[in-house]
Amino acid sequence: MIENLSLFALVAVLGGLGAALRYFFSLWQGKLPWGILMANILAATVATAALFAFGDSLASKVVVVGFAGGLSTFSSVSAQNFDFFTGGKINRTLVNAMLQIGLPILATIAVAVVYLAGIIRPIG
Amino acid sequence: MSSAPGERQPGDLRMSAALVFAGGALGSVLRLAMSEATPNTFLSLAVVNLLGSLALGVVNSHSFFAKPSRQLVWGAGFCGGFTTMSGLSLLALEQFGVNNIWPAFIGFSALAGVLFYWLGKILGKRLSR
Repeated sequence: MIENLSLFALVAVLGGLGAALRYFFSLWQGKLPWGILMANILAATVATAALFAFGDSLASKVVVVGFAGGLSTFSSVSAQNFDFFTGGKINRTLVNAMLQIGLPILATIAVAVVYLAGIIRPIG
Repeated sequence: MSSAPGERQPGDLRMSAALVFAGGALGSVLRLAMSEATPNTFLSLAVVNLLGSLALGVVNSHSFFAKPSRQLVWGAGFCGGFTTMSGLSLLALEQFGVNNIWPAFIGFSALAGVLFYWLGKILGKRLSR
């Protein structure tokens, strides 16, 4: 019960921090929403690293669900793709969708490979 | 995406970040509750990402959320914090070689997310009247 309570409290604080950090990233825009893309890639990188470093623990759950979950966003990618698509920018819609989803997955794979190859040892 | 701001002051930026923090904290806790409530990662990810996209559509079209401070709390904060992209990346890692439906699931999510956002916009406009 108490552990559950601290999990929820820590996820709230780190989720809020992740979201606030994403807000600063989101100010970087161009032909594509580069800032949000960076936030999504960073979130996947941090989440995967936490999973390998801390295993199945409170710490990893707080970082994965709280910080990385708050930092990354799916809803704003849906909104971007809707706006691009309805604005007739079909290529931009497809490129944005592929980058926003594909690059975080590649980041996750890269971190997993680094850990599984033993380049970085898990803590503890 | 944010509506054209005038000159941005450092104080405004701090205030904006605080508003996003509040909404993001709430969204993240609800997402945690969702994942604790269901052991099925596919289901909980689909629910948060599609409901979150729907909610953002409402936020971006309903007159109640036209105020910039409400946009920050409920749009960038709540909907952004409630939905997750890193969760999809970890799903790929977790399901790799286990259940190879994950690429189709992620593709479906991307498409359905846009549709749910669109539905949210329609809903928000209807409810505004």
